Amino acid sequence: MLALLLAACTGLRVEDVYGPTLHTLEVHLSLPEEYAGLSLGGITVKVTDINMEASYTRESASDGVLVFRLPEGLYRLTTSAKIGELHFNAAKGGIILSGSDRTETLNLKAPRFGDIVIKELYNGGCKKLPAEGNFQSDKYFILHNNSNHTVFLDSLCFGTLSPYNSTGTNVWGEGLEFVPIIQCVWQFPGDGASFPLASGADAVVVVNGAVDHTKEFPLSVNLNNEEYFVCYNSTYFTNTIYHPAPGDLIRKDHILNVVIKTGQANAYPLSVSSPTLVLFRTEGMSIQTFIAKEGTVIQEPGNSVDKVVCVPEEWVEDGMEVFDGRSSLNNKRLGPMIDAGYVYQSDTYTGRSLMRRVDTEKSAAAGYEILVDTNNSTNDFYETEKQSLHD
Amino acid sequence: MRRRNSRFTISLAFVVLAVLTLSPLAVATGPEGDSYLRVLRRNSWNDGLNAAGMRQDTVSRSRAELGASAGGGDFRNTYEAEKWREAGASAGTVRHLDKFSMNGTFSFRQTESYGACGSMLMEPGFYPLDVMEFTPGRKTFQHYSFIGGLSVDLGPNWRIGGAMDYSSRNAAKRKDLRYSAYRLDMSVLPAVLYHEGDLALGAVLVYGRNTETVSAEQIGSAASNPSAFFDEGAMYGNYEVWTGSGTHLHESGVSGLPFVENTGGLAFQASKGAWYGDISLITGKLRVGEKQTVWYRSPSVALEGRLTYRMPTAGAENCFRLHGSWKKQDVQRTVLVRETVGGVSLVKERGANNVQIRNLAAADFEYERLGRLWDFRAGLSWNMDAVSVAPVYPHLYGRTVQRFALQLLALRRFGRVSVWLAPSALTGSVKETEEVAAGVTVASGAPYRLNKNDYYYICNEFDSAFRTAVQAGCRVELGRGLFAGAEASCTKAFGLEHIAGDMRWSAGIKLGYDF
Repeated sequence: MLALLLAACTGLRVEDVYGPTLHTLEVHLSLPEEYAGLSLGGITVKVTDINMEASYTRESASDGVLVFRLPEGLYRLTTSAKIGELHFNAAKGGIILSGSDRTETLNLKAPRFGDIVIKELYNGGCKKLPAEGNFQSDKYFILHNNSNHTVFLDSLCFGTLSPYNSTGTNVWGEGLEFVPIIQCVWQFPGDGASFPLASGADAVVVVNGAVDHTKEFPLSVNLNNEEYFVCYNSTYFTNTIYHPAPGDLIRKDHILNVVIKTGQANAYPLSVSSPTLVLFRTEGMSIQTFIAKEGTVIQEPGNSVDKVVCVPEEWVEDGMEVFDGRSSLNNKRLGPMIDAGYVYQSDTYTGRSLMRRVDTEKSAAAGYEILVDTNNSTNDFYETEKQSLHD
Repeated sequence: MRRRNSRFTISLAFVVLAVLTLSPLAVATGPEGDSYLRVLRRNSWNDGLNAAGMRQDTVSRSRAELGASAGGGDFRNTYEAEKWREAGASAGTVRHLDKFSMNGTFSFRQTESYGACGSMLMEPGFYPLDVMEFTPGRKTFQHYSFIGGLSVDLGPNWRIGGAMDYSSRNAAKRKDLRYSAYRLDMSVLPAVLYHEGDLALGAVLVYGRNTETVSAEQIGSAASNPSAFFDEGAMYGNYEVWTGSGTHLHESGVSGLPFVENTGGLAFQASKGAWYGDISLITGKLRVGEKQTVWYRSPSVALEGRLTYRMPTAGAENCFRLHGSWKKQDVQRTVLVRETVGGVSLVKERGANNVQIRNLAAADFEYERLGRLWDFRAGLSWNMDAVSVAPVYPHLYGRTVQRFALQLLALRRFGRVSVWLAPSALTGSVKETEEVAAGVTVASGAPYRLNKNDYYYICNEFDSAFRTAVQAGCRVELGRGLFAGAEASCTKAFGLEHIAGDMRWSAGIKLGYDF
């Protein structure tokens, strides 16, 4: 009797446990019309269970169809494919697989690769050790010229998207053809040739506090440097905890301009846990002309105070999406043309930073540093133990 | 008195195990060289759930006692303390009057444990899921318990009765990752009994509820935040910073980590002459989470039965007890989706997957002799805990733990002094299996299994290592119903490779009054 009981209790198989809740997810890949003749076979698509962070991959058949057999869950589909010499990205989230099989179409898009990319983003802050508490007034990011020619930073703009955090309520849905820049658009000054960035060179942009923070908080960084650019505007961002007066080494012509302020914050709110960051240049007009046009600055849905600037996706040079590693409720904000994936920041106030990977082969061939750029932060970025500017 | 080990869980086998391994909460219940517990044990109906059955006996007894104990040693499971101290008070009574009988107990116990971490739940293993932290510190436990029962004659052949069992426990740990936990166990058992001659038949309706909530907090500042681990079974689960969503300790909109289980069922009893038998079927529904955010659901079914035969001989009463139980728990992990409608975000449940199937089974046989000078008890027990864990498709893991125990007890009375000795032995086995469905490419890798600080190996070793234990004690009647007692125990394990030590000890004293 005991042997029978033991066998009944311990003889379960995979199909016994998973079988009742497995369903089929059929994915059909599609290309834009201008690329209709290309082959859709052999493309690897990844499906990720958003709550579990478990992911599965399959390769498409020659007709661009993939079939996954998955347990119930909330899924996201992503792919970064190379067909010949052409790159394509696609992403689709919010796929609920429950109760029945499902079919989805994944539209591949050709991303734009800019000359300037984001090399590092440090937004998570650090501990105040040996004092008590956390410190986040030392955010910065680093730009890198990934091309083989000199690029000028003049008039380059950047901003962060709504919602500020990946776990926040995303009122925009999927399929947007613009990026909703919230709170403020920053712009590099210059006459067009003031700030050259050579091939493989970097430029540091200080978001908060261009001072030497290490004097008070040893785990932080020294951001007082004559080469650095600074987001500082005492008219619009008056909070001196986040925006103290720049250090004595900061050059006055390295202070970025506020093109437009569309929110009420007294400090520029780049999320400490899960920001997005986009770099863009206008085409055919200045940013000042663009924002004066009707319909380019709109109210954020559900928000009576803040507005957003609707920047066309085609203007974006580079973007990155950060997910909060502590949460299972992250939502994508950037479309696949800009960033098909996301990089996790494991925790806040740890001094960790997000770095773009180096393409060692291309760098060796070109003789200058070339960073990996597939417009997919999942592939392109990784988390480091500490800031690159930390001594 | 409603014994803890006559509840509708598998707790009997684990109480036996607890006695053998000398967990702090078990030492307080030493064998009875006294009248109050002997009176309870001689009525088989007191082993079951039917309060109306207490009137099958006619002897009234009461007792009050104070006690203190301490213990330590490194042969312990991951959630047990390096050393502990405990003090408490309890009172119990069974009273038979003309038309009705009543019983009741009240107890309070406070335990201070040192160097404790591991499971943040108060009864590790009671729920099929667990949550752990890894910074040893001081933990304080308090336990309040109240049990009350009533049996009333409705006529020459009918009795009705009822019992209520209420227990409240709380725990607090004061070192990051610090936390507090609150546990409530309650059961209500209305009963009916028909008796004619030496035949008695009874039925009980069972309703129970148990809840436990763990609230974690970090106050101090450190270079890195403490980590925690949420165990979905066999140590597969989520290991991350304690504020991460995988540990469920710091979820927006949810107060702490709540476990809530409602149980209900039926139990039937019968006795004829020297024979007594009962069977119960209890179903349960557990949820982990609250309001719109419920992460796990677990229905369960439990079947339990016992058979007792009393055989009086000259100057002694012999009793044979056979007990068996089985419980099955299916754990489902829900699919939660945040949906925004009209600017309002709601979390909705959109499906569920099996994550664990657990079977608990136990069987034990006991022979007891209660005589004028000598009491003797011998028992054999077996229990099994088999889990199949499905943390990430297509992986399936199985873990089966079996334990066999032998217990002996001999008590001798020398006038006002009683001494007793209880040697025991336990051995076990752990068997593991793994299966991965073919044809599925998992990009995220194999599921995570905790092995921080060798936890996994320590748990396996603790479950299966051969050990012997000896408990000894004495009781002195001081006159006018007053008594004093002392007891000590020692466990030694063999063949250890991962657990830091092979010994565990405890000692206690008590002062009481029987009336």
